[in-house]
Amino acid sequence: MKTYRKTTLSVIVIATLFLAMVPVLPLSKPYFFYMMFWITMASAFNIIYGFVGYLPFGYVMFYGVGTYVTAVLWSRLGVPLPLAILCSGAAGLVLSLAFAPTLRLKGIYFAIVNFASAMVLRIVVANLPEAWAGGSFGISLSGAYKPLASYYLMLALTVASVVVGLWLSHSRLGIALRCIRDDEAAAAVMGINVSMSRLKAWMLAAVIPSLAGGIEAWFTAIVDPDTSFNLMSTAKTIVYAMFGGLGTITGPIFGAVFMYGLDDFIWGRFPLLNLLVLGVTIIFLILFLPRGVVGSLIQRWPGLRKIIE
Amino acid sequence: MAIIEAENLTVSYYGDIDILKDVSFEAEEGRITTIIGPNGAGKSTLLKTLYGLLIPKTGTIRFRGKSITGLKVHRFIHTGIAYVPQLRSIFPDLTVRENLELGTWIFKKDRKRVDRAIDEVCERFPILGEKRKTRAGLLSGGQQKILEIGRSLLTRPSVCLLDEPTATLAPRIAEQIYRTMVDLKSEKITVVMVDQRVRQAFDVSDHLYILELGRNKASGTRHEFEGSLKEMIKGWLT
Ligand SMILES: Nc1ncnc2c1ncn2[C@@H]1O[C@H](COP(=O)(O)OP(=O)(O)OP(=O)(O)O)[C@@H](O)[C@H]1O
Ligand SMILES: [Mg+2]
Repeated sequence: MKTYRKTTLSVIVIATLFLAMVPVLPLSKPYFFYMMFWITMASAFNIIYGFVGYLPFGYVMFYGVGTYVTAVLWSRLGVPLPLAILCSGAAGLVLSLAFAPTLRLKGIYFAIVNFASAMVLRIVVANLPEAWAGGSFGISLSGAYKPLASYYLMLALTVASVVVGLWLSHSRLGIALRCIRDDEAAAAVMGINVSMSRLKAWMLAAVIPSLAGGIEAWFTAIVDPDTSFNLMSTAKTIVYAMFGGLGTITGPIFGAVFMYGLDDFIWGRFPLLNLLVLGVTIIFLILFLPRGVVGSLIQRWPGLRKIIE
Repeated sequence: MAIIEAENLTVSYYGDIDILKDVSFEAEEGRITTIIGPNGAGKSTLLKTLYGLLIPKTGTIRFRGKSITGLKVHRFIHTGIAYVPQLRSIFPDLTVRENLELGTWIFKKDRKRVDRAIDEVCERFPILGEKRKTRAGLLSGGQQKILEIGRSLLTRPSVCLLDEPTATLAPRIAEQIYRTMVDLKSEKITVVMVDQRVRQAFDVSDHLYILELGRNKASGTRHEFEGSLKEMIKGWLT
């Protein structure tokens, strides 16, 4: 096993143990739940933006659909929660397939179409029959409130998405994606199936936030269209992932932990300032750290690639 | 017998601006066929169309008698057709060795087959073995071209489409590439190339096609062109 593999795996194990202990320590469960949530979102987003180079501005829709599928299945049909959450994942897959044709669009066109789709979806969900989707008030899941179980489920998903990212970066699919990102035509000439590789990454990047949405709906026990389809969630995902460094595995994790911590700190003290911080961070990132913290470190000292990835 | 042939191709990049107009082409098995023509004549467009990068509006392309019109680009390498585009197609951030490994993509995880193919190509082009750990972007232009040609031979194709393999290269390296073409021919590999060095290309070719303004202007064997070539190309060579 290579050095970086060992380092990464031991860090994952230690972090997992710590996160598993949080509920029995005098620490805030919601704080760490959301930290894991953002690590998951940023890592999954990294698959489609970092590896494939597609920027889905409406990324929140996968999460949003995930929250609603779980909430509706549990509250209206009595589906047990773990099963309902799996259905959220399936719904994310279906949604990604429905949007698969948009992968033919390039650059900003893809981003805009995706953005618009998320807004449309939000309006559709908010206007579904109230008996089903709860209208603009949303759905309460308080009868199923089990913060501990949902906390551990989120931990499992977070670990899974980090491991998927690690696997991806060394798999044939990951190699194919990087080639396609660098030179699509050359990749195709080599025999790489460009559209199939992209589709696989897109599906992976969709199923994870949908599962996360289902779990988060269970944890908070409330779902409403404004929160589920809040465009700020996409913005945060992008900024957290970029801050750490796209295309690396540790980058989105570091970015999510650091930026979420900062965001939470500021929000707690100066509620109006957190938007400002997000905006300033974006400007700072684009001007000074386009590769993010981890990405810039690796660029500065390429030898670091041996211990972090 | 024609191994790859195209009939009445009409091709455009977008809309109704046809870049190729009713172009026909065929390459005989085990021969070197060269396409020449002035800049913008549509030579690269023809190769791209033969390789599925552009879908013709009308016309058909056949390989060993079977239609391959509309075949997806990534399938071509499986059929035994290789293509080296005019513009750089190496991955500059990867090493020479990694670039070669990508050329064996369709061998999947068959390490033995991958290593054997790469060893073979490094025997043909020793420079690729010497520079295997060098980042491909740091190679000279000629070495990059050799890497591209070498990479395209890894899967032992029966047809090689080469778009201006000698353009921008020093005469000595161009010479080496022409020698490679002749070697390939002696190994029964069909070579289709686009070339601007009309004189040298003429000397190694069996058949020639001349394109002008997106149409067939003339075609024939080298012998048929002996003497008349100068007349043909006068005016569009600078
Ligand atoms: N990607 C493209 N999009 C639109 N038009 C293109 C594209 N590539 C080439 N063309 C046009 O098609 C015509 C033929 O181009 P092509 O590249 O086939 O010429 P060529 O014979 O290979 O020329 P050269 O000797 O300069 O390589 C030109 O008029 C060119 O402007
Ligand atoms: Mg050309």
